[in-house]
Amino acid sequence: SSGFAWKDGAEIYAKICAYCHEAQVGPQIRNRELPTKYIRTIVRNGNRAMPAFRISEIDDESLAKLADFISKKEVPH
Amino acid sequence: MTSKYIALPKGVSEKDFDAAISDFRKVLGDASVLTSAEQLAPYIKTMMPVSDAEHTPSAALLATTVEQIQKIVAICNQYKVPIWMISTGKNLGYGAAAPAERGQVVLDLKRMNRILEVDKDLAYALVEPGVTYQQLYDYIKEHKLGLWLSMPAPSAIAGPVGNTLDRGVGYTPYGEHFLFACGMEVVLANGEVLRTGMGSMPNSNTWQVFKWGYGPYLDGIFTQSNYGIVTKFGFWLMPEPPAFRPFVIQYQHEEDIVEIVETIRPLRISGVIPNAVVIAHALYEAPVKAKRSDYVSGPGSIPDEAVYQIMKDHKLGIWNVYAALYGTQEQIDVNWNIVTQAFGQSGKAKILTEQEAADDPAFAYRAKLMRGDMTLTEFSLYNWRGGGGSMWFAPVSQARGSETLKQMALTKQILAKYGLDYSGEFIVGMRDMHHIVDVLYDKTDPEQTKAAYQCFDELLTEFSARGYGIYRVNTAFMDKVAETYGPVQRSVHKTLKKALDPNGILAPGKSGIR
Repeated sequence: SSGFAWKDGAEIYAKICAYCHEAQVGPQIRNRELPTKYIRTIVRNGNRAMPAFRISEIDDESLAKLADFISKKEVPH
Repeated sequence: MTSKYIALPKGVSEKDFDAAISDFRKVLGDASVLTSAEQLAPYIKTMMPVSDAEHTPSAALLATTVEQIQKIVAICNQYKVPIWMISTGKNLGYGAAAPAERGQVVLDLKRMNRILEVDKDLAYALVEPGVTYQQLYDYIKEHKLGLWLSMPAPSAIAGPVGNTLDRGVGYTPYGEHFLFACGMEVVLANGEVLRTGMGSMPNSNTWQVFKWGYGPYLDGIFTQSNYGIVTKFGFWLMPEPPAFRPFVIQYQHEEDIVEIVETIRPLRISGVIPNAVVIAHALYEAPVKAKRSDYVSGPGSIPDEAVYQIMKDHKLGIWNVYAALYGTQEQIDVNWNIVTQAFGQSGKAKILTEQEAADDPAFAYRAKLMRGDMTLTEFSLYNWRGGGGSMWFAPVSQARGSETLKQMALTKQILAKYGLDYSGEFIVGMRDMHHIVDVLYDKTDPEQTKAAYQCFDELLTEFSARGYGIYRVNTAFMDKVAETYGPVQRSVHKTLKKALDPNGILAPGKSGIR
């Protein structure tokens, strides 16, 4: 059997980012329409207190989906 | 002369490295051999007070099978290329995913991430190196296996293999992770595959149930070492108890640690309190609730008066003892009486139950850690000063009150000399304490970074002079710590290294072994 792979941007956000960015550890990043390029740069390089994430953890394609998920404004129900 | 590589392995020519890289590509495919600065950037970020250049890798290899790893070590032996092995690579405060020495090739096993087996009845798991606690947590929930994990605070993004191989700890009754390890598969430097314990026997079904096997017990030599590449790892899981009661006990004076430890020790050794209890200083818990900058500005360590103000404003003790009871309701009720009587005797302790502390964010994350739920809330420590500087100073102590007070006072005094704060906690084993201090500094500030380096060096020097050893350390200080354990141990480590890895290709420098 093959190993684990991410489903979509929402899953990555929930299983990694949200533990800090929805818990007052990191700043809020959703609904700010942050540029996807900026998100990708921060994830790969880390930023001060924030650790970096490798291609082996979040592959380029998944990171694109994640950046897209974060940058999009949530539509209110 | 500019190279096409951002670094080269020590003693390896660019021509030889070209040949090795070309061979790695044949084994793994181009996409799994990383050499560009952009691809390697995430491997370089550490929280240590040294130049990133000292820990820059030359390449990273993303392997997913044992056979690939066997071929990789063959190539490494041919060209004398040193590799630095990581599993999930979230060793924050200990060197993260960066190699011990500049130019080493990172063998990144994050994508080798299959959960091979979780046995509900015998309560064990067998996993590959890239499996994270989150992945295992989700698997256990999805299959309703009724088993609890034990993990360190980086929980969701860390994993059992990498953590246990560095002999990390958690906060449940299974918190001493290596104690609960059972069976490993290791690729040796010569390419052979060793299974430890009962795993060496053909057709055995007891690899994950009986640790020792027959003859010398080898698992320990593959932890905090560089004698092999662990590709499978078994460990025991705790059955979910019918009831769980986390609680916190607060004390108001630093000297009270003596009473706390003297009270806890018999309860821990007898098993009344079964989990890896934490005795956290106010400054270890404060970042969840408060900003340092709201209380102090300018240089120097935080004054005691400011710490008392934080305690008052945010309902913290100077010591905050987080512990839990597990079992049936009857078992918990009986043990609760024993615990409250023991701590109630002097009248100094303030005991808070889950109901009383429910809204407290520090209590909430501690309760999660003590039941193996995912949370990264403790990362708020990195916001205390900010700037990405953090080293774990982790001396071992007797679980004896007078000793813990002595260690705490000495640590605080040395930190203050360099303008840094005491953010410490004691993780209580039965007879031992992991005294864990986060040496936090602003890595974007060159002066503070320099001070943090000197401070850490002095902590190691002063503690070892008093016979206090370190259980685990970041890659910049591994040689220094190895020295403190004396020449005979170091020479035995070296003898084993020569026998198992004559070309020195596996993580030279790990724990000072090369």
